[in-house]
Amino acid sequence: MALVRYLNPEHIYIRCPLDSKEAALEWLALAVAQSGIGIPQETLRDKLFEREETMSTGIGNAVGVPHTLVPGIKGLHVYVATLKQPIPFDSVDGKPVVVLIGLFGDPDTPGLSLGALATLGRILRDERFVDALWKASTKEQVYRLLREREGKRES
Amino acid sequence: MWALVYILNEDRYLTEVLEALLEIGVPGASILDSVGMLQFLSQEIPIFAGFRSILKGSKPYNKIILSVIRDQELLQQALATIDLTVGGIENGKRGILFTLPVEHLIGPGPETLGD
Repeated sequence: MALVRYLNPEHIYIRCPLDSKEAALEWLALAVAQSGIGIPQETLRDKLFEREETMSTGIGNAVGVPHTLVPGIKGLHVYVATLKQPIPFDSVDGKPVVVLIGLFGDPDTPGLSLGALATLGRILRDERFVDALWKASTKEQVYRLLREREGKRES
Repeated sequence: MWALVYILNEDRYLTEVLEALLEIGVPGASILDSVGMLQFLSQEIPIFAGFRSILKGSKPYNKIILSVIRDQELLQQALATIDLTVGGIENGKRGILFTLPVEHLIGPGPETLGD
């Protein structure tokens, strides 16, 4: 799936100074609300925390993929944040998280979010790729890394 | 010759559907247990766990009825019978029914399949 199609380069945030999972989710809700998605911050926040209660979105390999489906959102919106320092995220492998990829989708078209999650699950298994994302110093670098990686299948 | 495949997501209708098929002259079928892709992923793969909420109320497992039917008239009758038995497949969201042409059949014929 062409994930970057749903990623506005302006929605990439570099070396965010967050210190906990809760702070990260709060910050993400605020960033998404302020980006003009048309959903209040509180709604986004509640939906993100509700999703985390089901099971952590710390998918391992130092990546968190907080995501939710929110009525009123059209299509799919992707947000990427690299963190200044690793933060605990209740990840499946116990590792702290250094990269966050947020997905916000339309509940009427869950297939879009499913496809995006499947793509993320595939490309984020590569530790070197995650490390490269974390160490990227500009939005453009992160965007380029994602664009190049999503088209490649592991051998 | 046709393969009839009905993925029934409410197994309380299984017996009724099989009995109805027998009554109209479909002599056999195989019954398989199955699970939907999203159901499986949401239970087994953490990244998809959030989709459990949109599956609330749906059954975790399906039954697949697989039958080979030689006669097209009987096939049409079988489709109508299944639809009637489950109270409307589409309206009741009671699974997916489709048919496929069968080019070759090796082994027992449709008359004995599933026996």
